[in-house]
Amino acid sequence: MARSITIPTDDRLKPHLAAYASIERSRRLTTLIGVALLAGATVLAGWMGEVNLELFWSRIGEFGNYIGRLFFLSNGKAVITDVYGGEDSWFWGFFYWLKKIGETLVIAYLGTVLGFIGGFLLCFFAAANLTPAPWMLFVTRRYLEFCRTVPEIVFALIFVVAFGLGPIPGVLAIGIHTTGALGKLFSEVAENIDMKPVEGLASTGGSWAETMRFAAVPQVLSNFVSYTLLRFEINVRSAAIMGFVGAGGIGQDLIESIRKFYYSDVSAILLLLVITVIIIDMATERVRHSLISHEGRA
Amino acid sequence: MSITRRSLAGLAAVLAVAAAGSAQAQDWKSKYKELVLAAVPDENASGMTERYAGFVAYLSKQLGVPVKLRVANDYAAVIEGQKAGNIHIAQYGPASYARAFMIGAKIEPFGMQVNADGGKGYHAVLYVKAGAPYKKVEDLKGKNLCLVDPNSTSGNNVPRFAMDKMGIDPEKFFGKVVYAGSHENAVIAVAQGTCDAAWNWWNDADESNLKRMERKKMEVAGKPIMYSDFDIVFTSDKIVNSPIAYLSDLPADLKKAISDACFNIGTNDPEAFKKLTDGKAQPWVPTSHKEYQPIVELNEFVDKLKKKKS
Repeated sequence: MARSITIPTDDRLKPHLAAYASIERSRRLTTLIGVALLAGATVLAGWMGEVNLELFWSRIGEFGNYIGRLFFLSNGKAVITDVYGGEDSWFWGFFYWLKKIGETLVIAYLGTVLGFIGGFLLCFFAAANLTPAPWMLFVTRRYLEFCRTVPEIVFALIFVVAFGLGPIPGVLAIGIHTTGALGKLFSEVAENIDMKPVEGLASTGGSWAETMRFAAVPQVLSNFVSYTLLRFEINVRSAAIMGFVGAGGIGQDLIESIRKFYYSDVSAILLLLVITVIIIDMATERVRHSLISHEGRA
Repeated sequence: MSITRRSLAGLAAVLAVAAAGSAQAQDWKSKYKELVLAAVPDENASGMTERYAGFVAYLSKQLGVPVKLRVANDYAAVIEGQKAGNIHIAQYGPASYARAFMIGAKIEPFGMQVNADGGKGYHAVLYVKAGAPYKKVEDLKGKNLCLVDPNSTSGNNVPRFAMDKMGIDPEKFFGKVVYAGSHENAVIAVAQGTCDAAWNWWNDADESNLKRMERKKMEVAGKPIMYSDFDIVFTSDKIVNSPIAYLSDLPADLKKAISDACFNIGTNDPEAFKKLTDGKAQPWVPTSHKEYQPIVELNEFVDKLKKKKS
């Protein structure tokens, strides 16, 4: 017997349609109010922040103008006409800048290592399912927030006073910020692990440290490394900024070139930095993907 | 009859001229509803705001339009702002004015600062802590040096020129060479030991950035900054005093109103001027680009020095 769909008569359908329409109406109203509030808040924020749209439109050409100026040498010729060789060429400081970028990479690397160690040690206390005591959860989470909220440049300035000029303040500043960022990401990874091994180990009398080492760490390590490699890339950028406060690396040359309007130098240094980050990205991408797929199989 | 007609015509002409005059004044007031003043950051932001508050109020009153102070956090921001036409009036140092000129900003220097004794020059000096074992620049080998800002005359360009004459390449000779950001920061860096020596501006024993810091009772780690806590190990040749400039394409009567206000501030509003200069200067006097051409050449020389590093 074939099933047939009986269509209710119009008068039976009517109240349902009315109910549907009223729900739709109220939903639409909620959306409208939401959009209106968002628009209002945006306008308010713009007003309080003195964002002047008219000025923005009339001046947007200036932005392109600056970018355009980056591609001309001091003698007015396009950078392409004299790429390398001689005092006035685009990449006159190629090897000097490479050396400085090398310094920046070392700062970023050491900062990332410090941050990994800090984040790794703290994340188990900051994971709701693993923390030994609720107060430890609270304290470590607030500490990690502190680490990543205070801008790196502020830490760097403080450390310059304490440790003097040079790469150490930059490394420490990046290390602290990375601790905060990785600690948070790591603890979220740790909160998503399978708890059976943890409970198993705990029930056989393993201490908290042993439980973490043998039940939790094997589950999270590949993800941790993956996040750390990503963080390294971000830290290269941060380390480049560190030069601004006398913490070594390419940053000081970059900021001097910007401030003295050596336009072609700015574009040359930025290009070298971008290429460096691309190389790092390509090198770490493969590792990260193999780690993540490894995680998927486990 | 004819006399009446002539006088009527004359009256009409007078009225027309008056109308044109006021229309012109109205013209720039409708185009420039607000003027922006900026100054290169000699000191920290709150110090700048305090120092310039009276001057800005005075300018607003004299010009009849609100004048707003924008506190820039580096010299380049003032230069870029004038090049873009966002900053109408700017108090420069000689080298930052020259840099703005070199990158094609359409500006005219109209006033030059004058020292209390009527002098129109100042010096770059190298400070070390009093009692430190450094008596001359050569003693500072391997130590840390604080410059001010890449666009500072007495805090970068004149020092680099002077050190080059001594045969010193700062980046090789010193341990670290950093830009402290402002004249005050450079002094603070020496006080707290971050740098062993710092370049700064200095008019005479009575007026300098360091003297100003002492007068403001600034402290480092709870200890007040005292002029006597520092020794000067090098004093440069005289540098031409700093210019104040406006945009070239401002209307002529607005330019005149601005320069008149600056030149006559001493009699019009001595209080505001005293606040601006701690009473250690006379009002600006007229100047022109010609006076700063040597500084343009100095900038070009220092630009070339940089490339020797490669």
